[in-house]
Amino acid sequence: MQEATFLILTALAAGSQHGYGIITDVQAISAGRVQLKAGTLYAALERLRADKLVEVDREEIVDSRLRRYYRLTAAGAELLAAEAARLQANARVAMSRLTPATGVLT
Amino acid sequence: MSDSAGLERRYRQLLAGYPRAFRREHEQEILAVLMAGAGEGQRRPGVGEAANLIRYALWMRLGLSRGGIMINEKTFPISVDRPSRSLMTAFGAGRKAPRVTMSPSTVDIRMGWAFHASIPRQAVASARPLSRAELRGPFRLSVLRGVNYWPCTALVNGASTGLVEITLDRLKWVRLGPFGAPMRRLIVSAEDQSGLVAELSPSTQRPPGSGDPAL
Repeated sequence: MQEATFLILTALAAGSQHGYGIITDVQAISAGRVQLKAGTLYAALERLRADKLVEVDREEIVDSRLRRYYRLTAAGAELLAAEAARLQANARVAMSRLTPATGVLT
Repeated sequence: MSDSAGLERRYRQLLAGYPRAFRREHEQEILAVLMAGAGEGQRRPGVGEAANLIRYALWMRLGLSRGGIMINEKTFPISVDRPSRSLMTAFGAGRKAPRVTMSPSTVDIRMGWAFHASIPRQAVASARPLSRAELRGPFRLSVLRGVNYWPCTALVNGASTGLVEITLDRLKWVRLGPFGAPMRRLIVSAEDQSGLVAELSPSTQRPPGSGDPAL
């Protein structure tokens, strides 16, 4: 899974968000490193929706502009959990090998 | 105020590049995101933002809108016999192996820069193993390798065995090198011929989320 996809799913893990909310949240999660552009975000959302990993939660009109909120589906949450576990396992091995003397996992 | 109206108009012009159906569904929403991200007094779309919109509009129009996302996928390598390996390198498919990738929604076929097709799974009418003897017309020559095209039919292979014929229920625009071309029938050489046929056959398509622990 690409990092952008992982971060979009992560942004939606705590609850539904609209497009701009996802962009700012992804930026916050990645400590400013990943700045999603609108084209990238909507290509990703289109794809995630087609694969039934994300669905539309609700729509609102704010300041006469449309806000569509997205949320994770059960399948999306499962996939994110599996991917997070995989990354964590990899990271743990990396950290343990970088500190062979102590073997300490921080 | 006029600044933001001008900016919105320019964003709208960029969004006009997207396919109509996508625009109907998302234009207002994306416009809201773009305007929310605009700086105070900004009059023109940023270069990066504009390039990004143009890029994905183009990708969607070409049916290539994978957006670089890899999830929930199964990959079937396209088989390549020994004499054809250097040809694959020439097609830029040496390192990134030629393959058929399937997600719950899409079948994606790629051979380096030479061929790329992204097909909705519903558009696959049938898939069956094809023996070399059945290759007719211009494809009869069993020496053909790489990417060959005949009106509405493409042969994308690295071997003359393990062939799978995929028939679509509609014409689909695919990329042949730098060009686009319509395609209705695709023949690929698969390392796992029966596995690919089984995965592609519409009857074996499971509804997403059923029974597959990976989902």
